[in-house]
Amino acid sequence: MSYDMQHSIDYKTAPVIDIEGLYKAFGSNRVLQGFNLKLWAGENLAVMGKSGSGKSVLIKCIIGLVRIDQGKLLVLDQAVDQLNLRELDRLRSQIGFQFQGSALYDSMTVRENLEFPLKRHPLKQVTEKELELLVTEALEAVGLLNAINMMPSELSGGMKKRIALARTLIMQPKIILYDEPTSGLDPVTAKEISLLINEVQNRFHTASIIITHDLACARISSNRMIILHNGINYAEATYTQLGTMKDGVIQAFFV
Amino acid sequence: MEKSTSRTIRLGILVLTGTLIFTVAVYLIGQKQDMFRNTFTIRAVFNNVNGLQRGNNVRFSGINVGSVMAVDIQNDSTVEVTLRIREDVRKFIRKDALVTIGTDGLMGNMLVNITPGASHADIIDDNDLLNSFSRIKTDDILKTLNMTNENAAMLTRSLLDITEEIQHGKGTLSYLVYDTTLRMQLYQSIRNLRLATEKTNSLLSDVQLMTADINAGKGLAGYLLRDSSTIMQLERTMHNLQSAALEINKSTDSLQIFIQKLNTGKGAIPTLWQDTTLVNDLRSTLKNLNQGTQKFDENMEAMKHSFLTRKYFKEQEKEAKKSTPKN
Amino acid sequence: MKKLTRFFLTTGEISEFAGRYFREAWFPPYEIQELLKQCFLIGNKSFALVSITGLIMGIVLTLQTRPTLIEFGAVSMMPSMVGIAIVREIGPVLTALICAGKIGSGIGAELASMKVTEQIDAMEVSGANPFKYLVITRVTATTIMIPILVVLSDIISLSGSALVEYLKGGVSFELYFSKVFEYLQFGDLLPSVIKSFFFGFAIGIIGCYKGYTSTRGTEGVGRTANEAVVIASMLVFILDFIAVLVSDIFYEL
Repeated sequence: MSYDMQHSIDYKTAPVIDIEGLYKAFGSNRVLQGFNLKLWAGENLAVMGKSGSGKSVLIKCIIGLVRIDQGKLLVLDQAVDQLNLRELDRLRSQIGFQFQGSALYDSMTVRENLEFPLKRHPLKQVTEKELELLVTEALEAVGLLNAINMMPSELSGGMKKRIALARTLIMQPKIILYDEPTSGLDPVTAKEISLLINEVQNRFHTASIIITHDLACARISSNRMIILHNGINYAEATYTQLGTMKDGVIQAFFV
Repeated sequence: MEKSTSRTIRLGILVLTGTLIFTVAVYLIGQKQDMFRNTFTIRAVFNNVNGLQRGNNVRFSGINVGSVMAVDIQNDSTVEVTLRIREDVRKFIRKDALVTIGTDGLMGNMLVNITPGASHADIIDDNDLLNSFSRIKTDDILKTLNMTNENAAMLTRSLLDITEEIQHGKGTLSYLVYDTTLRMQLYQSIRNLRLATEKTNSLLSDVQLMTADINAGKGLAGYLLRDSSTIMQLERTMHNLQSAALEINKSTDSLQIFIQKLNTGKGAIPTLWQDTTLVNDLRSTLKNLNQGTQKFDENMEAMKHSFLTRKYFKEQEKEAKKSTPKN
Repeated sequence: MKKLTRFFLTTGEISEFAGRYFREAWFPPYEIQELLKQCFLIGNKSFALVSITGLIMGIVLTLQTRPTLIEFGAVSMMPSMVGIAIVREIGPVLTALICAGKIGSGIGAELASMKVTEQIDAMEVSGANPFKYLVITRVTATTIMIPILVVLSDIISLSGSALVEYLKGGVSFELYFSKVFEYLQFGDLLPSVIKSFFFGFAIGIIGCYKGYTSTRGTEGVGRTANEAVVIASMLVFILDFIAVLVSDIFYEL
């Protein structure tokens, strides 16, 4: 099956994301209370949890959209909470982030959406020719080359997710963070997206964190899973291992 | 790409139009303030500038030729006004031009007028100090106008009373106005009056001399008139005659001035008396007066021939005859 | 008390937001393409609205003042009077208010919906600076374009007034405009253009601030647009008041 390990994950080297004892609260609402996570290069990690359990907050902390209260947060060996804006921009250009609602720029065509981050790349200058090549390449990777001149409003939900993924891939990231990649999609399209995540992992050798409450998606796209419950990593294992656990919290996801 | 190009072009048109209009407006306003033209400056000193400000217009013969550049107080009684004038009118402004401060209309902005002087003076130089003349303010004009108005009101009121009286037949004037036959000879009578009074004058001086002689007991008359009571009477008569003549003299003199004024048309009265009938009345009156004095003349003549005074007159003639050949 | 605190908080936040604009506007990258696009959207797309209101304002003002001026026998003062009224006050304020309604709400709603759909986050995450791309371009565009719209609106208003004078008083356009410019001074034109820059900046910064800090999902989008219009319009009046006071001081000098 496609979700089986088809490439090597080097668990011996330093992890690309290393989180220890992460705390984050919004007022009195304590979302993360000593969360731990390690992501190794080339690994797809699914983080599952109920709505409001702090899954989205977790990856927003990783990308620097949400400031952490306390704890160790190393991404590609850099402490996110201690970076200045320019360093953060540099770090971000190596991380892809897939928003739940795709977050395509409404006022731009698909092509412009893809060109947007590349034209503003903090590290490298891209010529027009390279730009054209990279855009077509990224669109081909998600199978939507024909949508190049369409506006986001003309696209279906699944197509939007693919274009958003293309927009992430065009930056050739080392890490991709997926926020609910299959939410709002029908099961067939959801499966397509899940397979696409898997395919991206194999093709571009990226490490990913997939935030989801969709078990099918987690099963297909991830190598390892973390159950986020009460602000901590409640359980951490492969899909098959978790399926055999008799814990109520875990079993709730497997119904 | 094409879409964005056309968009940028349209944006460019809009921005350029706006900027152009703004530039034109700035230019038009600036032109008025002579900012973008060749100019030169001249100065003038005033006691009072009546609220003249920087930027007020400067007119030369009624044409806007510049603006006020600065108004500076020099000391407690003089204010120096610096004017910026268009270079092209320099050749028309001469050193003897007069600078005044005026207003544009009754309530308009203050402005500076340059009135050309005599045309043989030299053409003006930069920073020349021109002669200035502080004109009365609108306020003052209005104040005077008010006074004049009040006076005019009073005048017309009295005039109304007078005309009413005239119409109702009161006073001499009404008689003059409404009796047309008397009017015709006014002018003539003044002349006669003058002649008559002159004659009276000379006559009276004769009489005076004669009485002196009589008093000294010269001639028959003197002899006859030793009776003091008769002399007293005669003296009184003569005195009365003299004072009467003086009186006539005085009144005719003033009448003469009056009539002269009337004829030359000076003063306010002739304009009121454009009515010729009134003048004519006056003339006929004077003629009557003239006739009166003629009669007086005749009386005096008769006196020459009376037995009492004949001797005196004759002696006078003799003396005159004696003295003329000597001369 | 709570309202007062919130008022101070909002004022502080807007000031901070404006400060951030001035800190970041000078440094690259400059989003020239986006700036031109926003200038087009703000300038060209509002031009028709601004022209129509300006034209009507000119016509109405002239028609309304005509009887009074005729009564005073001062109908020849019409061009200078209307000229000064439009250039000094009506042109800038009317244009600014219309733009506060049209552009302020537009920017507010657009940025709010981008915020809600995480597009702003997406920009930030992709290493692009959304503040530069969204806020600086829009605020700069309003700051540049509103004075231009004001100048255009002025000239259209005056044309409307000239048209009335032409039809009703037989005043030629040439005479009308020469009288307008005879009376106008730099002291009338420059302060009104300078304050238009401030109006433009205020409209842009309020629209962007409200949009950029919008919360509460899709419901917040409408509320944001509404608040942006209200605050921007009020700010226009406050700025106008200050501008009149300030220009009065300079006028005295």
